[in-house]
Amino acid sequence: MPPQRMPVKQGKPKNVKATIARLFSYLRQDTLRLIVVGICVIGNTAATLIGSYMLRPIINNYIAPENGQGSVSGLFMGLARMAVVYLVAIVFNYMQSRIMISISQKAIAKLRNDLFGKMQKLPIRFFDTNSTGDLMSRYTNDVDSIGEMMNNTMVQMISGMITLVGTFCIMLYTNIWLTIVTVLMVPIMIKAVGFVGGRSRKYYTAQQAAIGKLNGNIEEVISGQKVVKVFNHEAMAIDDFGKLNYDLRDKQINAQFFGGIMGPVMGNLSQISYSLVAAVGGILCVARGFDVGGLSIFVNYSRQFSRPINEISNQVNTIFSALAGAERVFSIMDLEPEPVFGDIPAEDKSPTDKLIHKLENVEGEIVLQNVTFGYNPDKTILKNITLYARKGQKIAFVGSTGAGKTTITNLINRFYEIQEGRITIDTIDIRNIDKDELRRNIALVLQDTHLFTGTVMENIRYGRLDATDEEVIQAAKIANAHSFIMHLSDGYNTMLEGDGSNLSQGQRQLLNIARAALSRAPILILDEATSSVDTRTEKNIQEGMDRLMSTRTTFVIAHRLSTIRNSKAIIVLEHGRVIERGTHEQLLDQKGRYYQLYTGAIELS
Amino acid sequence: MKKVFAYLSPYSLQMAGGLAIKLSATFCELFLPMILGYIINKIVPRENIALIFLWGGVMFVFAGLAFAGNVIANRMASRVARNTTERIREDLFRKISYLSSSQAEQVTLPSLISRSTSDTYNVHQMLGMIQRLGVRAPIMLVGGLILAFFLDVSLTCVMIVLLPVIAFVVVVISGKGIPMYRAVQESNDRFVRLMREDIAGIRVIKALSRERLEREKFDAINREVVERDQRAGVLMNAMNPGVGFLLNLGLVLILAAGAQRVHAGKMEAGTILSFMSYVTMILNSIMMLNRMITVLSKASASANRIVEVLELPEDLLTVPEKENDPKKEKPSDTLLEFDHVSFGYGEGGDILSDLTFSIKKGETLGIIGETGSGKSTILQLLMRFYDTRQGVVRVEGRDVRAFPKEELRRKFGTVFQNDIIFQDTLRENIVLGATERRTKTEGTHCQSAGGGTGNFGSGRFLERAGLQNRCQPSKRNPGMVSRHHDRHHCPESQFHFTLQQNHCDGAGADDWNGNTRGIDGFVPHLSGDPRIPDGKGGEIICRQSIGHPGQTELRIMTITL
Repeated sequence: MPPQRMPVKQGKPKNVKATIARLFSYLRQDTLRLIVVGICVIGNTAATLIGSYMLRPIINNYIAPENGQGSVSGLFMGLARMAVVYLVAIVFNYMQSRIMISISQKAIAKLRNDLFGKMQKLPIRFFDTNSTGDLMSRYTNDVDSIGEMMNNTMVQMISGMITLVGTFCIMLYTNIWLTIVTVLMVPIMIKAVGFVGGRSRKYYTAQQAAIGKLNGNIEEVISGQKVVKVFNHEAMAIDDFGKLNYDLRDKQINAQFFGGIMGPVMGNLSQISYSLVAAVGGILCVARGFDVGGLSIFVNYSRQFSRPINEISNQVNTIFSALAGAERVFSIMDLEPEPVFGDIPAEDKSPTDKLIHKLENVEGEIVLQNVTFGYNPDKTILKNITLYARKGQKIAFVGSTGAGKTTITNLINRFYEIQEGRITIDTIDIRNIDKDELRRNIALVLQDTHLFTGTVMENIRYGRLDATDEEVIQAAKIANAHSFIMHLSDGYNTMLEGDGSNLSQGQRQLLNIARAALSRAPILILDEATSSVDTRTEKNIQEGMDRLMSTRTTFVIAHRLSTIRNSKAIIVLEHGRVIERGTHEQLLDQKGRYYQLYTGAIELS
Repeated sequence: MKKVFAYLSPYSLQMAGGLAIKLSATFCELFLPMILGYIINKIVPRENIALIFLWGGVMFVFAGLAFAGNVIANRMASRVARNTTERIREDLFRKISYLSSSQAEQVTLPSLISRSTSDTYNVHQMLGMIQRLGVRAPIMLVGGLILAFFLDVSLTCVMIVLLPVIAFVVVVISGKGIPMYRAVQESNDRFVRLMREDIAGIRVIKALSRERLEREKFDAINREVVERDQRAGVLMNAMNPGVGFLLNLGLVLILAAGAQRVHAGKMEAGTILSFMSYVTMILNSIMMLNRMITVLSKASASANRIVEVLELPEDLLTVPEKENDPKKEKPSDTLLEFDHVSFGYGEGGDILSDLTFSIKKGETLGIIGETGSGKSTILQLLMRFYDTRQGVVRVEGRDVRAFPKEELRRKFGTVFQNDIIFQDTLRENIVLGATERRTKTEGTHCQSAGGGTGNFGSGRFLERAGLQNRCQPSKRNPGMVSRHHDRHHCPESQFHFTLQQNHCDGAGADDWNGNTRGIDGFVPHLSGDPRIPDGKGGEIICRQSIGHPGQTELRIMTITL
């Protein structure tokens, strides 16, 4: 049964304000520069408004003069002043956008960092139940849409508000009737925005989710390329992809239907307003002697009035994508992290329990006492297991698949918390130990290698960051990796491509073992660590490993019996229970399960 | 870019329709200032309110038409953009699925992922925008110029002088912009790569408590992406004020010239008003073009990356036989053959060097060797994931290159050794078999869907392969795999190999240096011995009859790919 899902929740509509507030908190780190931007925006808008107003006297006095002609020099003066004002506006414009880009990029970077930091602290269960590609999508698509919003929308909003207010004032000053006509359109516009916007929001959320799913699928299939090929499943994979692709298209249709209307709706409502103003203005000119200059600038302003509303409506798409993206990002950040210290039930607590951040002089005695655990509450994997290991002892686990061997290592590492019983290290309940500290004292070698893009030296050094080059080489020698490394094109400085795909699986495992050899952890857990290593090499490693293990407590899970033969105790697990325990010779004498496994009379099924 | 636009061709009719509608809508918008000018010049002086209402009504109608037209055209445009992107994405995915391993490795998997996600997104944005602004902006520009020309020639000339200057600025800036955006996408690739590694390898990161180190790495690449994006953004943003300044300058000049002309009686006041409206329209349209160019630059870089992959030549083509296989008369019971094969990955040295062996039907071949000596490589060559550098691989007497790939791969069944056909001379074999099986399921906690066998390959793999969809997969072991749980699923498999990492005689751990007992077939030993610089294969160190007399099957187990 798969581990219980740790789904990432979808945000609810009523949290829009909270989401926006949270997004804005990321800008708060740059308050000073934001203020500067604000000033620039105000400056820009004000200058633009003033510049436009300066047209009125020019037209009235020089272009359509009602009382004689004005002087040419006066005209040029007026124009020059206008030019200067426009120049000022442009300078402000440039500064504002320049700074705003920088601010929003910084905010995005911080958002990604926060997301990453929070994500790292999540329990393993989360990673087991969420697709890699979908998670990645949150860092890319979702964060990008937030970025777009921060970059453009913010500024548009501010400048829009100011333009609106300023324009309104000037219009009032110019002519009340025309102002009323213009303003008449506004509530209609706002209503339109609200209506269309409300409907599209949920579609944007669905759209972002569909993008996430699609990206998840893409990542998986591309990663597993060779596997797909082996089984000639290209056609099927393409089919599956096609379905997700189509689904995304569907969601986009809905999202963008409304988004696509918004722009033209707003744009053309303003055109209508323009024509109304023209008509009424004309009438006023005739009936009330409204000056032509006034009319012309009014026409201009009514345009300027609707532009911010226009722009904002254009931004609706951006805003909603960003909101949807933000919800997806925040929903991960809001998940419960791994508890640093575990929860010990009251009846198991001893009065001397204290929480430990640093372990000193770890002997490495591990005890599992009556441990019961299951990934799912209804399926127990380990049933009342008790076992122990002392310093320097090598304990091996054997058993069929699903018997619970790897589960035990998951528990010792506190990747998952046990349900019943206790696990102690040097008699300290591991739930009392800080997770980081606990893991620092355990060297876990999985069959999975996590080699990252970097040199061989760096990859091995991952086992202990402060190791010297000589220590790294020494560790590589113990792991019998030194010889093949020296045969690589750049030796220890060879760059490894994604997860070491330019090495063979066995070679990767040797690097893994080198890492463990490098770390000084007193407890060593080897989970099928040499499964892909050939027997001769393994024999070569064995001596080195044995030396390593002599001072450490080791748990070994292996199917290769030569690996486990010299263990202090071999524990045979079946269906989550310990059915046999003893040394190799003792178990053979017992002629039980182990004997059968060893002599091949039965399969490990 | 052209190739991307080629994807639009099925929609040419739709696009033409949308274009036409958009055109009309824009024309309607263009006429509005004309009418306004007319009203002021001719109607207002007449002092006839009814006429004003009439012409106002005309404007209203035009505005309404423009509105309707734009809404419809925009919807059509977004539909086209969306559908086109869907097809591009699908084609890209299809192409990637059929890429050969070496091609995929060259582009790198994270880059392939990034191209399928982020780059297609950029292209999508661009396609939509081109149809909307791409139509409206040029039309407003050109239409505005024409109508302005119609209103007053000399004023228009003033404006026209400015245009080349503006065009120059735009071209220079966007020329710099495209390579910058390419750099942004490349950083994106590295970002994706780090993310994948960190999410997939979270267990190791936690186990070694390396969270802080990974955060630092993340921070570094994060900052790089941000910086590059910022630089590109700032550059493109410089266009706006630059162009804006020039345009406003033009406005001022026009006013000056216009005023002169009105004084000289050559122009009416209302005309200037209209003219200014057109200037504003032209200004706006140039701004729109600016914006489009930014999006285009970004999308251009992305489009190139997508097309790069789409245009990769088909690798590992099926080569008809007669051309390259001189030795066709082979004993018909030879099933598999390596004929002086040499091979190495990428630019590296040879991993297999002049390797020759063959297997007959019914034989079992055990391949033993040191880690990294080339065992898995042999399998990969057999299934033609790569082509040899020298020599020929033959299956059933035919060059593997002559087979269509699906046919070739269908011949190989990757099977668990549920049945033990080897007796205890190789007791390790049991252990090995168990190893392969256990490899995945431990982490998957899957119920066996097929019933009976109870052992599946990586749940995740199977999910991909679509063989079973009920498991919630564990994230481990993405690299180990190719396990097929049950022979029944590959009825056409004719043979299977056994790949063993065993000793030659299996009696114990000590007989590595070879005792030749019971020679029946032979087992080439692939020596990864560092003393032999080329890692020459083909040296026989020990021979062993592994096969059980009377066996009719070979089995293959692919350990890793």
